[in-house]
Amino acid sequence: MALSSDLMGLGVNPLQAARTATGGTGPLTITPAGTSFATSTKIGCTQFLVTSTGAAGACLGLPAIGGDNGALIADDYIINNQGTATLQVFASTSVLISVNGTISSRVSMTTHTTMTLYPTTAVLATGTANWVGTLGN
Amino acid sequence: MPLASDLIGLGAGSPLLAARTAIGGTGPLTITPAGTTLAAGTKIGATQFLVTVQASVCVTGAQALVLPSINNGDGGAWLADDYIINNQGTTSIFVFTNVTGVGISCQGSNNSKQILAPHATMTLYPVQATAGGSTTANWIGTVGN
Repeated sequence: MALSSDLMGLGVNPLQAARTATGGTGPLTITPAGTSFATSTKIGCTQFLVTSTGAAGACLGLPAIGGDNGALIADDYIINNQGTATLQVFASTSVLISVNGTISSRVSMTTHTTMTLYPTTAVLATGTANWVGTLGN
Repeated sequence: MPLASDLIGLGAGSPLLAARTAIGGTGPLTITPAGTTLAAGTKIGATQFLVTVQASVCVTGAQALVLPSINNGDGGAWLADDYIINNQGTTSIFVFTNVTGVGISCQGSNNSKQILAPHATMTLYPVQATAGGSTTANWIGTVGN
């Protein structure tokens, strides 16, 4: 289901289009930065499909969960790494991601892999992931 | 495409449409497995499209989830619905079809039971309303790490 602008052209209202388009509002390309969540490039709350061409060690940060400027529960975020180096994807402090056989606040994505993530809990509990997903080749 | 309640708030045409088009469906997003067999397993709701088994409820002996029946009206999965199942526990969980003999084509096999390791996620789609024999799967899908 395309970008929100496409859905709007098909008659869907802007808010609904932004949340239901597979690509959200875009942009679909993103440039990672930094070495931690704090210094990373943040993925927008309706930037549901992104592909990165970043440099070695560069990072992306997931949105916070909740509110108009955050991810909504069960949103789906698709992240691809088409760079020549491993990409680091961070959740915010103390927020965990259940993916790739482990639970951690950081996930490494090798070149030409894609990860799909879903926020499942709005309130953090010790040892429980807020994000779940899958990392494929 | 969050929960049905979010889509309704954003102006989705109807609650029924929202329930069937939201990635998370109607929720709830957490689920507690039970037993180790089809008969004892916890049934995934027809519009419970995204579920995670949290570590606190995932223990040996309480590991089974059961997929909805297919094309069973409002109470069943529709063809091409997508169901996403995550396991946050330290123990593998079992995902069963609702009837023995109905298969899931996934992880290199066609079986009525598939195993989901810790911190792995499975996405499944019903593709046939009627079991097509022992070699034809009703569900297809993928398990990623």
